[in-house]
Amino acid sequence: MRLGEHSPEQVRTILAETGLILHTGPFITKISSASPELADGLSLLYSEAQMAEQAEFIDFHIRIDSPKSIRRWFSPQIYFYFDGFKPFNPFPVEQALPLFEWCLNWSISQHAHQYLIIHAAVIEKGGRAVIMPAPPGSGKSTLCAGLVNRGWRLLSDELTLLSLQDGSAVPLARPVGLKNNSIDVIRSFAPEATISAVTRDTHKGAVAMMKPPAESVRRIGERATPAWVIFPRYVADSDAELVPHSKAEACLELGENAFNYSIHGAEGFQLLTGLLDNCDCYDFSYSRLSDAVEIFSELESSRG
Amino acid sequence: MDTVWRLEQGVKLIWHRWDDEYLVFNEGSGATHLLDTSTAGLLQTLESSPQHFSELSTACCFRYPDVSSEEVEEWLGQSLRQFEKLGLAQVERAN
Repeated sequence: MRLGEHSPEQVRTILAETGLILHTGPFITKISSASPELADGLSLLYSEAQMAEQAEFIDFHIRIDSPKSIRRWFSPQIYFYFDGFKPFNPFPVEQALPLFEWCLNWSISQHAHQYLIIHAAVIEKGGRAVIMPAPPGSGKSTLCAGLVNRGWRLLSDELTLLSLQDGSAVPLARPVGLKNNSIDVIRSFAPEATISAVTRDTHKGAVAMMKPPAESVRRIGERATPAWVIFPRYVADSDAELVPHSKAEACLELGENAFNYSIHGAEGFQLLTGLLDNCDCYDFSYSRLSDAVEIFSELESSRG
Repeated sequence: MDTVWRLEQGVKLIWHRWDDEYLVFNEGSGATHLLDTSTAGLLQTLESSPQHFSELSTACCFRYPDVSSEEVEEWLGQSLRQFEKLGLAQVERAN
């Protein structure tokens, strides 16, 4: 059953009482919260996600709630609880939805060591995946959001999960995080996309979430073989440019961008070198999403 | 006084090459290093067996006849010291 088959009121009740159990990529996540804002955000952004049965094994137990103290009456705050523990300081209560996304990312990156996890976006077309590692502020998520609204399938805008068995990319298909100017950029580029309300004054500035395309969520069980590693960089007022990038340097950068490369040791090294044997690597600078769509389309066509 | 260079104890190397770029993973430390052809060849020589500096110098001069022996020894010394700094190699005084 999809989450969207429940009304927002029902989702608020489930979230507050028994907890909402969702398939989030290859994981099952149980979310508990009395926050109506979080419930409404989940109803909007996860409407295509499948709900899981209570009896299924739960990978992550997440609770987002306010402390029962006098603080809830002025400048109310919320805590993130992971398996009953509070790993972080509290956040303002209005940040419940982005907090959930950040904390689910943290949960995966800190615990899902059955994968090699890279801080990178990953999209797919024709069975072949593009991995896009980039530091915050490089335009990675904006580029990802633009491309998945022009025919590319979203696997993830933030965490690339690589199978240790065959190096394939495993889909998460969760909401895409947008910041500051990129919110209006995507609203203009893809007016049909569903974007949450903007949360202001976070540590990343103003943030909003774009709902993943329905097809990306429906195809959550389909892995993809990496064929390109592309390092994106937004450069204002520039023409789009794709420049070959050294495979050896790409390997070092993927390792540096991985959350758990050091945990996997030689297996991680061999996974990355094997992956890059079959990938073309590029630096990509751009300023207009329309240019990026064209370049990526040519790249995909050129592989045959 | 001559010196003997060898791989640092506990170093176990896995290699991967693309054209003239070599990546080497040290299982002992978990570190990954990027080397060019010359320094990769040097490390692989140490990997095969401990080497006197003098023997390494002779072999390099033979391999790079267009480079002066002073430049070869300078490059050799810098590369070996860099390996030592990275925990890949160690030096001992020869008897």
